[in-house]
Amino acid sequence: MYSKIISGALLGVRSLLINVEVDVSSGIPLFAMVGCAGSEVRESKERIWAAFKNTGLPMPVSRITVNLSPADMHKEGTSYDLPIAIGILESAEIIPAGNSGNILFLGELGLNGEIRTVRGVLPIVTEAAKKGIKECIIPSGNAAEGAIVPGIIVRGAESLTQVLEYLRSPSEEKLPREPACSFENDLSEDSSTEYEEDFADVNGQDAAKRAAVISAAGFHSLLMTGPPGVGKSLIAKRIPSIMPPLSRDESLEVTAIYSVAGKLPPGSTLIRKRGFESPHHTITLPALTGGGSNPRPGAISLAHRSVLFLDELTEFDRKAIDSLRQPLEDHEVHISRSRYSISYPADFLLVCAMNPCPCGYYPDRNRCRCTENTIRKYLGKVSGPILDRIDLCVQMSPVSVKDISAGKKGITSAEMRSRVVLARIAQKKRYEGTSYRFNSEVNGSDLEKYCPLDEKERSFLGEMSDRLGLSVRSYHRIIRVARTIADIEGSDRICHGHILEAASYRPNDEYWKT
Amino acid sequence: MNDYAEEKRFMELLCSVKGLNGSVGRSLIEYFGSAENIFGADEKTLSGLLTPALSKNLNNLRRSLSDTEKSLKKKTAAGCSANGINFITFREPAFPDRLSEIPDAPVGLWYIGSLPSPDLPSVAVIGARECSSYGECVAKSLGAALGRAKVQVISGMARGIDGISQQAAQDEGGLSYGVLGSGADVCYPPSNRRLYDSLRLSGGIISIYPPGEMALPQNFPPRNRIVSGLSDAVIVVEARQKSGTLITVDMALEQGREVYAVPGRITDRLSDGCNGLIGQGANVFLSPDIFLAELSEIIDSKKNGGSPPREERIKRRSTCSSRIKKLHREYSGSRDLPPDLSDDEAKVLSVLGLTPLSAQDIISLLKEYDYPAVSMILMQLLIEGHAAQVGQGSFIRKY
Repeated sequence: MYSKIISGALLGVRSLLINVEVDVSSGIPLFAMVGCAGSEVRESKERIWAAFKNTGLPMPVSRITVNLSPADMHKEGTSYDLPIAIGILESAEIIPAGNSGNILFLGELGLNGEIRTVRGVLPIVTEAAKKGIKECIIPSGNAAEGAIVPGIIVRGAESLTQVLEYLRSPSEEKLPREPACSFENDLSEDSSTEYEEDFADVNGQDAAKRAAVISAAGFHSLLMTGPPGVGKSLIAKRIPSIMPPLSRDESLEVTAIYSVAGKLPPGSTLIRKRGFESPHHTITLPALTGGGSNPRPGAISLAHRSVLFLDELTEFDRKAIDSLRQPLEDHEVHISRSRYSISYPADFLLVCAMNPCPCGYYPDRNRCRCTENTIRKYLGKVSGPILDRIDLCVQMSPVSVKDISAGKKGITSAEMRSRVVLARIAQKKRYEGTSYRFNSEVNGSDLEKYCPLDEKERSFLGEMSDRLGLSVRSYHRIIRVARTIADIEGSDRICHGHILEAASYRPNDEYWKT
Repeated sequence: MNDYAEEKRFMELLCSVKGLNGSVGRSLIEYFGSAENIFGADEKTLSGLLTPALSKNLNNLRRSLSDTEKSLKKKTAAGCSANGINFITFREPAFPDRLSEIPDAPVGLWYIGSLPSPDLPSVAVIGARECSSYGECVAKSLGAALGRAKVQVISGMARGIDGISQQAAQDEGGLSYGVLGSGADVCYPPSNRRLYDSLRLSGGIISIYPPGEMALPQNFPPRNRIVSGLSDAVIVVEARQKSGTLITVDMALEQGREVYAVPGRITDRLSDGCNGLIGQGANVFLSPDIFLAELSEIIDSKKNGGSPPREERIKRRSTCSSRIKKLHREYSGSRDLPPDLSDDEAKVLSVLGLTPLSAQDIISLLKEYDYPAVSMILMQLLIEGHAAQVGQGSFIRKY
């Protein structure tokens, strides 16, 4: 007998519905699987075999053929276990035909017949709902994630027996429907948007905090330099807490990426907090950008709509760092391999930290004995094109014990966030109807239009460029940053002071080009 | 004369023997009567006179010579003059007198440009390669003052104090001489190319190493001996405890040169060497003016064969308060801040000095300002030229 079960496959963060066809016919007993199945998919035969035995189900002693259609697309992952098992049961007439029609199945089987979580549930269920499928049966660990999708009934199953019982005679008690969870109406425990880390815990470091606000407000990439232990990571970790809360769409995007990466903890629903990706400097290029034979999002996609923090920037592989150039421009990363060509969203805020010299104490010549050559070599490890894309450079110095014991509390993340939000609103208004979202994205040619300078300020900036020997790129960078500072201060026009402050964040050419 | 030209070529060859220092070279010439005879002597005599390593180096040179003797000699001479490199031996009258005085004076020197004039005073300015902003500022104004006073500045053309003082002297139109630890045709460090090129024109490049020799670490101590040997006095601008600069000072003292040290703060590691020297009785360097006055005394007394009147000098220094005031003007512009500053700029500038401070440091000193305000004031000072930026975000005052 023939049966057809619906399941899904991932294509980047999008997905495609897959028909799992099973035919059970007389002949020499055989279990054949066709349809460009990867090794995990082919292994499902063994899992199904054992799961059937351990739940007391008879495995048909016949010729079983499984086809995954479209058959020319490579398929990976363990989520086909459940649809194949259901297909066999239906073909062997253990469950009545027709009950599984218009239901999407996803799930990995354990040898004892339990159904285990899989990755990529959110995008696949979203696709199913779009294609008009009415119902889906997914691992109970993924049920909350599936329930985010409106317009489809989501049922979470614990075991194969449970699904079998439900399909024999469908009734609500046997496999209860997962309560829908929308962005606006989420009662789950992790719906809190409060961050554990708060800027109030950071003493002093006004320079870095100010730079963090500007960075978050205008999505300007940030580089912090300073001696070891000065609090560079401390600042970076707290930047997500001053970004505006994730919007509904952003939250869906981020959740989908985490789902595809298999990073959603079982039972979790929408991600509401911005993440913080801090890869170790030994990270390889595919791990950073995404890829692999079985494609998964890399660190830059996990940092989507949030912060990618590269600590010890000089220690990173130059190739890996240079690979950030395209995603920084396009806000997504295109990965082309022989077997696939996909893209993952990668709209991240780049935050980097490094020591000013190999020992970390330059320009304090009492402590630093690095020669000019070693400093030059050290700085040379930061690739020029990436440095060009960094809008804010800030130097940090150790806070004196006196300042700490004075108990001077810093401003809180909430206060800083309110300024960021103010600037975001101004930018939203300014760039309405354009492809721009933030001041940091505006092209040199459009700066005139969106970030105009008054005559007095323009001539001042020109004079400053001459005095400091600024490049055109630096000139534009200062205007963009000045625009964000003006937005934070709630000013419509860019003032003298905004330009001065913006210029203080430029990379000091004399230092970087020595 | 022809005979001397031939002999000079042999002397040049002798100088290019690795590891052969001035005193051994002179003794050999004295023993054999001429440099030519050294190359004609048999191997046994030489190995009896020299250390095994030295005689091996010399014999290797002799052997390579015996095949193509003439052509090689010509090549050395022709190669040198083609690069503008001259060679001079201690036998010639133009050989610097100051250098002839020192123990272990070299047999000969290679040089490009000219040699220091015996009629003009010459002063060695030395110090750390990785110097602080303070050292940089002192070296710059000292070099300039010496250049203006037509005092020849002798140094090693190294990074840091050496190169900065020499460049400053050149910029003021003064004469300066770089003594290299490599061949005179090798610009080391390459970052001092501009200085190297200008020294060729107004001053000179001097080396005791044959053209083409690389800057090897072991070449620098003998080079330092020449630096102090060519000078009437040595000024140490900045040095750490246990540094190469202090080795040069030892050599200078051995050669009977007056040593001046620029005092620094006791908390600055880069001034430890200088402060230590002052503690041991070195002259304290108070200002270029005072120094120049004392320098002429040193030279005069040397001419008369006496030792410099040290006590008198110290007595005079105690009454030079008017000069100290002048010193302030020289090093800190003046005590007063520039007149065209706003109140905020004056406040920030008054806390800035030659120790690099970041905006954060300034905030903890001037609590009334927040970061945006300080960053604006600093940028304004930078644009107006009252401050300079060091590293990514540290500032010093520009005098």
